[in-house]
Amino acid sequence: MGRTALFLVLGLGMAMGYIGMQMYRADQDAMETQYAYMKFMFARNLARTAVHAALRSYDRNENPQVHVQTSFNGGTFELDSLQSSADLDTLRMVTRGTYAESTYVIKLKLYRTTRPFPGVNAAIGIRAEPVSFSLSGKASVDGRAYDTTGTTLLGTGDKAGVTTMEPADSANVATVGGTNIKGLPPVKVDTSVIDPKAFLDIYKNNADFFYNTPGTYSSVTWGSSSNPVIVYCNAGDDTSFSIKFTGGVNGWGILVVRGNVQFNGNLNFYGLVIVDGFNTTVSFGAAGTPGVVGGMIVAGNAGASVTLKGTGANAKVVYSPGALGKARNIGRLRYYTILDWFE
Amino acid sequence: MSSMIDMVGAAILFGVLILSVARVQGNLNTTLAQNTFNITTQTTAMSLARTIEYEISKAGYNVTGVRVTYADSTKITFRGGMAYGAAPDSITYEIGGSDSTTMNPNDSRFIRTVHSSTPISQRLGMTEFKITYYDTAGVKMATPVTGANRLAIRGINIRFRVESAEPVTDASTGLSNYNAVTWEKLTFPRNLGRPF
Repeated sequence: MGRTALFLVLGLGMAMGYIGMQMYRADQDAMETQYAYMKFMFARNLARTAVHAALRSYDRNENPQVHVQTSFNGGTFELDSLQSSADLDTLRMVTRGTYAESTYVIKLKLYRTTRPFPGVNAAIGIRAEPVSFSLSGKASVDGRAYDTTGTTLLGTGDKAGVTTMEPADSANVATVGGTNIKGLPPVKVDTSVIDPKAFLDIYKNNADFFYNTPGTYSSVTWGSSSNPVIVYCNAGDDTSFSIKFTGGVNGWGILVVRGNVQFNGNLNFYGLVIVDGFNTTVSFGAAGTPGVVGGMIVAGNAGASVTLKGTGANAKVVYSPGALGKARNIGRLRYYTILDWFE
Repeated sequence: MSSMIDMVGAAILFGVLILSVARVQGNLNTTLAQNTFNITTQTTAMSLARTIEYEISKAGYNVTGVRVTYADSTKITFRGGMAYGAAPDSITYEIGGSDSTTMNPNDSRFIRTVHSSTPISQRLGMTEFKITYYDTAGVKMATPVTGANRLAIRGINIRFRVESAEPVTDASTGLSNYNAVTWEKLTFPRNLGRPF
């Protein structure tokens, strides 16, 4: 009896073990089916991440590295190949995402361009009518085309020094500026100056430097010649110069000031300066040598004021198509159109 | 006398044991059947999902002009090269008629057509197949999408539900269930937005 019971228990145990293994195998099969799909999805996401990483490298004015594996989220991604046209407007790339034993490859061709840019066909383009304009001291405005440093005349592509919306303003600016305004011609009427308002949100959302509190700023550097940036200053509607830049300020790219701005001391900005507000006042203070190389758009309500003073010889606004071109090509303002995408 | 009691006791114990084993065996069979249907349904769903993802992501690749040629809530036809640099194929997905070969009263055939070849009618246990479309602004489009509106399609959301062909009956409750997998994915085929 005892022996029979022992065999019975042993037999039951073996049967249970066999059934248990069958169930475990079934569970494992189900899990592997899900896991295989998960690996495929992860590999695909990593391959897409490689595309985004490469484009973000361009945005930072860096060259994406080919055949460099980056570990991310338990897998890796890399750029298998990268080819671009000479002017970088067409990019071909092959990316690879790997997760466990799953690999996903994407081959694509992109067209790279920049967002619409509020062009300025003068050293200072004024889009407010009427405008109050005064110029004194050694301050000057020069619409002739300079190189990106603002030191050498190009000899071609000269623009007007100042453009206004109304003939009366144009005449007033010409009288007030006299020989301190140069250009082809020094002053003219140009009603085609683009209202920069449509661009401000883009610049605000992509700003590298954002000043949201009124104040005085000095000894700051915004970007570099090879890495222009976006600076956004929200000065508000305070007419008492709520944003002031004084001494040791250097910047490259796009400087947006909502409200009033006063440039004092030694300031050098290379690119596009947009001053927009309800009752805009742009003032170059009497002290120091503030300078803008590129172009400036002043937009605001009737009565907007532009005051240029400055004691130093460099207190000036000069037109530079090269500096404006660099501002247009800020990495964050580029966008890509898909020409081919194979995955 | 004592050996008689032993034998009767052993018989009772054996009977209880056999009944228990039979009950366990019944439950195990149900579980195994559930697992088998589960695996089958999952494998079917994943396989179909991979096929749809593979093909739908190529919609518009190497195609000039209209990329989605037919866009309704249960049928889609799109064009796209299925291999790198390949000429475009035309692919159609649609839900077919009811599948009378299974015990599941709700399943229908899934029909996939490549080019104008004979449609492949598949018995996958599909009980739901729904397609929605999104335009350039990410707004859901009314179906069917026709005419020039098809050029505005940027996102394609596909949802399907696959159920087992046979039900699994719970021995204790007597309730029958069909194993099911629902898959849904909104895809933005990159080539649909190409400028030419």
